[in-house]
Amino acid sequence: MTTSTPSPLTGSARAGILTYMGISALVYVLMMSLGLVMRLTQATWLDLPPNLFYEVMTAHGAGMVGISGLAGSGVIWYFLRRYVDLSTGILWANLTFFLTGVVLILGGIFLGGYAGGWTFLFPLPAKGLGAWGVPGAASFLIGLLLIGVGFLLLYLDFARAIIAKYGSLGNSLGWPQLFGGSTDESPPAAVIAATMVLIVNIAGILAGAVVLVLILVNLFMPEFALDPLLTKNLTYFFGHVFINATIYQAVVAVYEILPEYTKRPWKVNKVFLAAWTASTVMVMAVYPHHLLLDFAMPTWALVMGQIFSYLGGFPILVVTGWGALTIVHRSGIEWDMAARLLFLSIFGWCVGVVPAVIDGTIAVNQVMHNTMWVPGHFHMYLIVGLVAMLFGFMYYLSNQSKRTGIDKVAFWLYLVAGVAFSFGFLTSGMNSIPRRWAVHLPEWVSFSQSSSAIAAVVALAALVFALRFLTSLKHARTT
Amino acid sequence: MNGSSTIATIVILAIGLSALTVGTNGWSTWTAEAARRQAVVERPRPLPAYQLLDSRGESLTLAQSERDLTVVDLIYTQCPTVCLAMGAQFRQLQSELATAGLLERVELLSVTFDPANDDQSTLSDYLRRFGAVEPHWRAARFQDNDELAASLTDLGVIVIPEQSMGFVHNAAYYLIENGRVIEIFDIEARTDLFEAIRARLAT
Amino acid sequence: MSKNQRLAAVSSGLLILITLTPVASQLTSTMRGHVLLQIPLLVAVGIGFGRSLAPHLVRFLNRWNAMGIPGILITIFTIAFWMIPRWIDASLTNTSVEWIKHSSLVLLGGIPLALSWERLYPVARGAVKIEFLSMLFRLGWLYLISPDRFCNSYLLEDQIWLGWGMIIIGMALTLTWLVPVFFGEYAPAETGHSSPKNPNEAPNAA
Repeated sequence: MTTSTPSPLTGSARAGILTYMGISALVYVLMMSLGLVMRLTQATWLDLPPNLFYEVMTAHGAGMVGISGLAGSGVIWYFLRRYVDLSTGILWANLTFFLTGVVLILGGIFLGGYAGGWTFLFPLPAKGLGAWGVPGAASFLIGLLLIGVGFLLLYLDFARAIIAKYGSLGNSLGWPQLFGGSTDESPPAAVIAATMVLIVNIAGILAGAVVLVLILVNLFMPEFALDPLLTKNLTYFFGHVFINATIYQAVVAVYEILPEYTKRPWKVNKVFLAAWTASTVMVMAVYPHHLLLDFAMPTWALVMGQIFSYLGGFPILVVTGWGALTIVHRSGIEWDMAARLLFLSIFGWCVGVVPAVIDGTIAVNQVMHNTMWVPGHFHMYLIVGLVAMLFGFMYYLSNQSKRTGIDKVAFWLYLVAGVAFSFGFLTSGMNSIPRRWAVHLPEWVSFSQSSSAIAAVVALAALVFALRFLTSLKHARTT
Repeated sequence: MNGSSTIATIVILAIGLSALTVGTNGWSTWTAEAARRQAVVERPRPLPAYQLLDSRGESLTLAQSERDLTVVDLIYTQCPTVCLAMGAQFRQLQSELATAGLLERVELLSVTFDPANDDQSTLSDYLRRFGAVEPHWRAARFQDNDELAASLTDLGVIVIPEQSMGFVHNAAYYLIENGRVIEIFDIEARTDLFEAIRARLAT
Repeated sequence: MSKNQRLAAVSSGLLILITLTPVASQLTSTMRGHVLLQIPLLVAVGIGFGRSLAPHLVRFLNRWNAMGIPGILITIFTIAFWMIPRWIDASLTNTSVEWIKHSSLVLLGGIPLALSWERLYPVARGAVKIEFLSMLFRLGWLYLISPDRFCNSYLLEDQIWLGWGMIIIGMALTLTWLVPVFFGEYAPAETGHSSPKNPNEAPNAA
C-alpha cells in the first residue's frame, strides 16, 4: 500500500483537525510577535523591563514548543486516520488538556511572574529571588504536566490503533521486511512515522512526568534535594525528544501530499525503513549534546551526544530529501502554495541541520553553546523547516492552495526573511553575543536592530499564511 | 457512560480526594513524625506523674517542675550517633540560655530510654562529658520499665534496636510547660527551639 | 470444585497466610517487605476474589462501572492512600489501622481492579500503566534522596533499599510490557485498508 485511501473526514473529526490547525496558525503568529518584542527590546527600540522580557522569553519558548507539538500531532493524525482507526474523542481530549495546560502556563508566567525559561532547569523554578514565587512556578509546571497527559493519551491511541491493525510496533516499523526477509508490502510511510513518534514521545513524556512531579515536590518541600545533573538529563530527554518529534510528525505531510500531487507513490524501501528505525533510537540518544558544557557528565554520554548529533538527523533527512526529489522530478507537478512550502521545508530542514551539527561538536560547543548560535540553529530548522511544512499542510487542508499574488509575495518574503533572520542569530553567536539576555551591550545592538526588522517581515508573511487558512476554513477538505 | 456510573465516578472522586486530604492533614503531613508533632501543638497532652530519678539520686516527675519551661531529650549514653549531636546541641542551648539570662527559668532534662545500661553514675558521666551545668541540666532515668514504655508510646517515640548502632529512634526536643508537651523540635532546629523559649518567657 | 471456587480458596489461603500467620510480621518487619510484598500480595488476593465473584454479582456491579472507570479510580485512590508513609507507620502501631489496611487493599484495591481492567478502553489501560511506572520511579527517587526517615518504624537503610527496589521493579515492568508491544502479535497483520472497528474491541495497546 503506497498510496493512501482517503476516507471521509467529517463531523467532529474534521472540526477537531481544523481547530488544531486554526489554533496553531494563530498561536504561531502570536508567538512570532513575542519574539519580535524580544528582539526590539534588545535593539533598544522598545523599553521592556528585564523581568517582563524574561517572562516573554519563557512564554515564547513554551508557546512555540507546545504549539509545534499540537500542530505536528494534528498533521499526523489527519493522515494516520487514513490507515488506522483513530479515536476522535481522544483527539478532543488532548486539546482539552492542552488548553487547560496553556491557561495554567500563561497564569504562571504573567500572573505568577515565572520567568525561568521553558526548559524549567532545576533548581531555577525554586529560585525566583522575588521575581516569582512557588505559585507561579507550580502553575507553570502543572500546566506542562497536563499538556503531557493529553499528548500521552493521543500517542497511546496511536499505539492502540496501529497495534490493532499491524499486530505490533515491530511490524508497523517494517521490521519483518527490514530484518526478516519478508516480501509482504511494507506499512505506509505515515504509519512508520507515527510508530516512531509514539515510541519516542511516550518515553519522553514518561521522563517528563517523573521529573516535573519531583521538581514540584522540591518546590514545596525543599529538603528533597534532587540531583541537578540527573534532573537536567531527564528534563532534556523529555524536552528535546518532544520538540524533535514535531518535525517527524509534520513530515508525513510530505509523504502524503507530494504523491497525491504527482500521482506517483512514495516508495517505502529497505533504506527508508532502516532510516526510521535508526532514528527512533538516535532521537532518544542525541539530547546530551545540550549538556556538553556539564563537566560532570560522563565522557561516554557526551561522545554519544556528539556522534548522534552528527548522525541523528541524517537518515530520515536523506531518505526524505531524496524521495522528494525523485518523486517531483519530471512529474509535471503543479507548484501551488502547499507544494512550494513543503518543498521549501525540506530545504530548510537540510540547511538547519548544518549549524546543529557544528554546535554538536564538543570543541565548538564549549565556546558557542551559550551564544546566539544555538537559537540560530533551531530557528532556522523550525522557521524554514517545520513551520513551512505546517503552513504547507494548512494550504493543502484549506483547499485554497492556488497561488495568488499576495501568497507569492508572502512565500518569498518568508523564505528570504526566515533564512536571514536565522543568519542574524548565527552571526551574533559567532560574535560571542550571549543568548537569553534582556539587555545587550551597545556594540551588540546593531545586530538586534537588523534582526528586528527582518523578524517583522517573517511575522508578516506568517500572518498572511495564517489568515489565508483561517478565512477558508469552510472550504476545507472533507477527505 | 451511563447515569449510575457517572454518579459512582463523582462519588468516588469526592471520597477519594477527601480521604487523601484528610489523611495528609490537607496535603501537609506525610509522615507519622510530622503528624505526631502537629498533634502535640494542636492538643497539648498532660504527662503522667511517673517517678524519675536523676543522676544525683533526686526524684522528679515530668508532670511538675519548679521552672517555667522544661526541655527534654531522650537519649541513651552509649549512643554513637544522634545523641552525641543532641548532647552537643544541648550544651549550646545551655550557653545561649545563660547568655540570655534565662537559664534559671528553664530546666534541661536528658532522659534515658536504656535504664538497663544507664545507671546513676553513667548519667553523671554523660553530664560531665557535655559540660552540663547542674542543676540546670539534669539527666534522669525511669524507675519502672512499664512506665518508660508507656511514656514512649505516649510521646510517639519508636525505638528500633539495631545490631551495629544500638538503637535507632526518632530523636527530637520536647518543650514542656505545666506538665504538657507544647511543641516538638527537630534535633537540627536548636535555634527555633531557643527562639520559642525566649518568646514564651517574654510574655 | 469449580474454577471460581478454586481461585477463591487459593486467595483465601493466601490472605490467611499473609495476615494471620507469623509470615505477616515477617513481611512487615522491613519496609521493602511491607511495600513491595505485603501490599501487592493483598491487592493480588483482591484480584483473586474479584475474578471468582458470581456472574450475577459481576453483572450487577458492572452497571455501576461503565468502561471500568469508577472501579479503576477506587483502586488508584486506595493504593495512593497506602503509599502515604504516615499510614504505613500507623498500620504498624495501631491494630485497627492495620485491619483497615488489609481489608481496604483487598476489597477496594484488588476487587475493583479485577472487575475493571478488562473493561477499560485500551488507552486508559495504557495511561494507568504509564502512571504506575512513573509512580514507581518518582517514589523510588524520593526514597533515595530523602534526608530523613519516612517511617519511624523503619531504618534509613531500609528506605534506600525500597527506593532501589521500586526503580528496579519499574524498569523490569517497563521491559515486560514493551516486549509484547514490539514483538507480540495481537492481531493478524492484514494488508489493505480495513473498515473502522468498534474501538472497544481493539486489543490491548500498551
